[in-house]
Amino acid sequence: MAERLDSDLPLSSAALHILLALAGEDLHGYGITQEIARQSRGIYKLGPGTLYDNLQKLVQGGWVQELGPRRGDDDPRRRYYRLTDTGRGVLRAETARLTRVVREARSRLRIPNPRRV
Amino acid sequence: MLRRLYRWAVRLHPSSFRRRFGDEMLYIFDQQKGRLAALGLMLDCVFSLLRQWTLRPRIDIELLAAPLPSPTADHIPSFGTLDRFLPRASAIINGTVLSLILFCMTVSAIRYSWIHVLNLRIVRSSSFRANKFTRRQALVVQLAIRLSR
Repeated sequence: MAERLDSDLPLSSAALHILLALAGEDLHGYGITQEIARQSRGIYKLGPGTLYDNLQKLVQGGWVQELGPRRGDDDPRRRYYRLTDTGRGVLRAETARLTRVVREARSRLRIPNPRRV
Repeated sequence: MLRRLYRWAVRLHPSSFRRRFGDEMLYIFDQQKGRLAALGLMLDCVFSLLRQWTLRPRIDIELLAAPLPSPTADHIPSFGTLDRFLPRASAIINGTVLSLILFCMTVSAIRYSWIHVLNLRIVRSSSFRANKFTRRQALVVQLAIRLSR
């Protein structure tokens, strides 16, 4: 299972940010773009074309589940998406990979590790 | 105006993608404020259009797919393919390059060849006068030539 997850890595920036946005709660497309902008402090902005192209791939890969519209929502056009267990596993694997990259970079650039509080 | 253009661009996406995400794309577009943001979304939509038609295989997933909207409901035609799968991206690129080369060769052959296939004579009103055409007939013929250009 772990080997299969590793074969999907590294993730594209868009896929990583979408999975990260969905890690907290179920969101609709616009909510995902807002959450990505918040997480990246406005640096990374995802357009709807890129968002849904990636969501299509993530849904096909079984990493994200499409829930459909919610009852009583403001706009019936909004459909919600949820991170699946497989998607969460992929996100964990990618986070571990990025941690190794950061550790290696800190060691090469001689940047001291941040103190644990 | 920009929203209408955006809706056109969304409608040009493959039918499976459009049915699943078209309304949501329009919803996100409606949430944007400012012309610059709208232009950015328009550009993103054009890139998405190119990506969907060239790089993505046509695999329809009918999970929670919305019903097909009527093509004349908002007076905008919709496009789709009968075939469920596109050829490989490399085949499309090769075909495009070959078509462009063939087109350029044909155009240059027409322009620079010894034999001019399209040897059109430009008829002037003076020649009509010489042939005793009436002024009205000459005007009608000139109008027809202008329209045919």
